[in-house]
Amino acid sequence: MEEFYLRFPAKMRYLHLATNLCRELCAKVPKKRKVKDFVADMELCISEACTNAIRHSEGLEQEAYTSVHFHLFIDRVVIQIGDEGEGFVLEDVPAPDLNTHPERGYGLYIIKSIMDEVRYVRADKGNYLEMIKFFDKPFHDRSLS
Amino acid sequence: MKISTVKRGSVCVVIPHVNKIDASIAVEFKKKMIDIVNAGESRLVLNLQEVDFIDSSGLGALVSVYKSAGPNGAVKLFHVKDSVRSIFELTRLDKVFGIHVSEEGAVESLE
Repeated sequence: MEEFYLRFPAKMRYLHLATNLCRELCAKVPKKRKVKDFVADMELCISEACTNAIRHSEGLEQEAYTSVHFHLFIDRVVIQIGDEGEGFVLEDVPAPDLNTHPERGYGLYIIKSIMDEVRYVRADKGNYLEMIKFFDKPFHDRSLS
Repeated sequence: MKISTVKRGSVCVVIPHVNKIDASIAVEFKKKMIDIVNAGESRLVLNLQEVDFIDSSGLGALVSVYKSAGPNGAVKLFHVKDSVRSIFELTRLDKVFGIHVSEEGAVESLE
């Protein structure tokens, strides 16, 4: 297993630090089939998760940080996005009504549609969203759509 | 970010000169697009040839522009890359924004 860690002030202007790092790392995954889609999908999920994490930290009195922790295993990638906000209950977040075309609320839906496993952990030292993608499954399993 | 516009009859062709439309730029993108709508252009065709990446913040900005255009307005897209098209399909927003291959097809769909 190889791991990588990035921690940055929870400000939207640093969002590309996380997505660019994700793209570089995922491009190195030795998967011959649909590598291009895999990289794009992971970049999208990182962007969604980091955007949520940064927004969760808005309004805090002290300067907050967002973290990205990559774990590259031989069969999967595990990505943990940390935030210092109050946190939320993943199961309580409603799916967007795709028939009414809302302006917001797609982020977690997109993550859940692309990733194989998603969970949100609330902890005293900071919360994190954990996303897991296995390499032996189709990268475009849009079963939620 | 820079946005170019070209008139094609009653349709305004819009070219965002940006690689990524995400939360770091969505507010500015939305404001500039709505400024175009408020200037009287409610029939828009977006050329996304320079856009490699869009996330839900970018989609939300586009939905806002679409709603700002009103019942007689429209927003169509063309030159949409596969990685960008897939998120429109995943969120079913491809049904809202017709995705066309060419500028001619997109413009003709509004005439």
